[in-house]
Amino acid sequence: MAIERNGVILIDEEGRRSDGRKWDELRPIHIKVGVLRRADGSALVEMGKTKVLASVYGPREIHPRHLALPDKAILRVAYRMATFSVTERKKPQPSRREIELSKVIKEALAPALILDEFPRTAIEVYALVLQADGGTRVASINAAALALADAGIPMKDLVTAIAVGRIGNYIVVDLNDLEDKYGDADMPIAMIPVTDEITLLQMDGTMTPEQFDKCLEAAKRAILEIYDLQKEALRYRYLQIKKELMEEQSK
Amino acid sequence: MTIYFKNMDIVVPGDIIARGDYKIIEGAYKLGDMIVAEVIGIVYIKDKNIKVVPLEGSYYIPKVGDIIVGKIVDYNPVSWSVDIRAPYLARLEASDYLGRPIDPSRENINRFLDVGDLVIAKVAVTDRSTNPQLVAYGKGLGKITGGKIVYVAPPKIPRILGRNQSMIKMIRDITKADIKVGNNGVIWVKARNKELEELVIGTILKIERESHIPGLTERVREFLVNGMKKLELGDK
Amino acid sequence: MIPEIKKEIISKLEEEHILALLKDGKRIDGRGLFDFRNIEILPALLEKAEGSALVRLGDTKVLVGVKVSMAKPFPDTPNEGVFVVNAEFNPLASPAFELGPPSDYAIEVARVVDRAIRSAEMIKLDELAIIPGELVWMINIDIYAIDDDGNLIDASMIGAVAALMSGYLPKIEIIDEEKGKVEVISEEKYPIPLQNLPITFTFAKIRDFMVLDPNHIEENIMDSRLTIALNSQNEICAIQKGEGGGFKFEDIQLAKDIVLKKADSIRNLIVNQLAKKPRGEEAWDELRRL
Repeated sequence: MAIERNGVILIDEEGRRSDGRKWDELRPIHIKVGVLRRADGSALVEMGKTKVLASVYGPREIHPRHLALPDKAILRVAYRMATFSVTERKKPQPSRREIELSKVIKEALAPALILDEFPRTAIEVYALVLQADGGTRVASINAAALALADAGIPMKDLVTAIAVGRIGNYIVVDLNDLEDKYGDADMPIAMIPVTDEITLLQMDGTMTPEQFDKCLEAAKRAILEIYDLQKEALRYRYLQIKKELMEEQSK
Repeated sequence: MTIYFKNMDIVVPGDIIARGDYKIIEGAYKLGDMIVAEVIGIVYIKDKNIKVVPLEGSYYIPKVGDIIVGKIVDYNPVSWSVDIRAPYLARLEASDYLGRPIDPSRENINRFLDVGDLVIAKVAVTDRSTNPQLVAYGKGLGKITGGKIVYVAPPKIPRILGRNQSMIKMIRDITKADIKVGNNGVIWVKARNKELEELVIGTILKIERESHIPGLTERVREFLVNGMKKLELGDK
Repeated sequence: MIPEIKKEIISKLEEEHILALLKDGKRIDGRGLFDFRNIEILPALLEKAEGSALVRLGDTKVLVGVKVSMAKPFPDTPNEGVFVVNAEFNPLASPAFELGPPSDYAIEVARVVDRAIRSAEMIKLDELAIIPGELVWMINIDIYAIDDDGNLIDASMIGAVAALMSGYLPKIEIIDEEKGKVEVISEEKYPIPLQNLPITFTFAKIRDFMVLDPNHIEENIMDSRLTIALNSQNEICAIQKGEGGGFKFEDIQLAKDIVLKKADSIRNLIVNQLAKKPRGEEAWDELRRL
């Protein structure tokens, strides 16, 4: 049976989603690290039509100074949406939503960072959503983790995130905007894969305990898939330099 | 005991380099019986020692005894604030530059060093609670005049120096240039002429870019020798 | 308090080096004094913005989005549409940019771009009325600095005109003129009505030397800044002098002469790139290769 909400077919007769994906299929992911010249670290992450650019500065001096901690660096995160990233123009001033998401993204990233090497400093992350089509906070986490690694900040691991959810009896992975809006539940999750810790967990909508378990399991599989892409993107530049050099020498 | 990477492979944060009884020199941490990389870097595995030399990072963490090239950004009657590319500004007392005490009621210290001047200095004191303190009085230390400055990522400095300074010595021997390498990723170069300075800078940037690829010394030697030949032809 | 951008201290050694090169008519990035850096435009790459463009001016990058909506006209121009230019210079682009309200610099850049578009009468505002006196199109032009390697003014200007030129208005039907009720009738759309193509040229004065399109190091040691905007007829349509120093009469004459010489080629470049560059998701393919 197809599932229709607000005139949109979210799941068709064959169990395909509004953009043709299977329930656990990710959108095409493109990742590029080190895209900005002036930032200390940067990354562009595209999850389908959701596009996020993240930059990192630091460790650097803290302003105002009284925020400094004597034994470790502080992490500061700003998540912002470009005014034209959504259908209705967003006002440039940060909304309550952007402020909340900045906080939960910070708390998703912080457990992966080794902050005690830089007392009295700040590490600053800025993530700008260029285009929003669902999953902007998880794309921001994926981009920010890469920008942090690109800035040479010591980390226990990358942080990788995905949104999972429910449409009727279907569990869906990597929700697009329509599914996010009209679906029955949406649950963004971030993990530190090597320690197997969940560092972001939010949900809205409803799920049975069984559906919740299935969501967690699907999220973990998706996260490991994205994690591999993140690592590949980090290595890519170095392998590219090596390749160019080999070609140069073989001439 | 298992090793998952080859010597000189590139690792990224979260990569499990090995399992078992290894000793970590730097750039990795222990998680249960796993040795996990904490930065993007080149992994060196020798016997039971594992080291990850970072490839990224535009910041410098000062260590006592390091030589740095710093920029004067401010001063007060008795000391200068120096940008050493660290998260903290360093302090240089007037007496640690002049080698004598100063009477601020009679002398203005910006006569000796002004905002925008560069100094070669040594890190004298640094700990977690105070800003680093520099000394710029002594052989090879002091204000920089002439020549050119090149900036590299501070983690690349060990490669530019080479083992027992072999790489930098080779560059000096071939080009006869005067080169001072700051541990903070700032390098000062002064050579016979501008073209030669450009060659030295080009060499340094080549090392920075290719530091992760084996055979670096030979490539650099070839680059320098070819560069010198071209310059000599140009002279004639 | 409106935030101001703090300048970076450039070492005297580097400054002397820059000045020595300028004396020989050269620059640190290898350009001549009046050369623009490479300009690359990727138009219409965003789906939720009615118009957009990513501009690369050397290593400087800006992303401009155009959003259109319906609004009440201003009482003094009841039959004209409205446009607003806004610039966001956030920490993505430079270690000197901070979070918080727009800096005076961001506001200055937005206003210079606004004036050039307005004076050149680039947008046919009288064709943007939907129900005269009641409802008009409102065009928001939002400029985001992505990477600041200097001269955000000219990059923003190119971005704004490219985003407008790649932009569209949705086709609508008036349901009830009295109540000002309209409806978007189909996927059909038409170009934003435009009639001119203003461009800006920004010069930096560094001691005795004038340079075009300063990079961020040159900006940090410049004494003063001059922006000249030209419309398609090569009339001067906006000017902005910036920074603490001044210009001599002959500096300004020189700048004007150079601008007149270069204007046509820059305008052609913009038009050509808009015509041949891929759009939408394909623009991203190209972006990923850069």
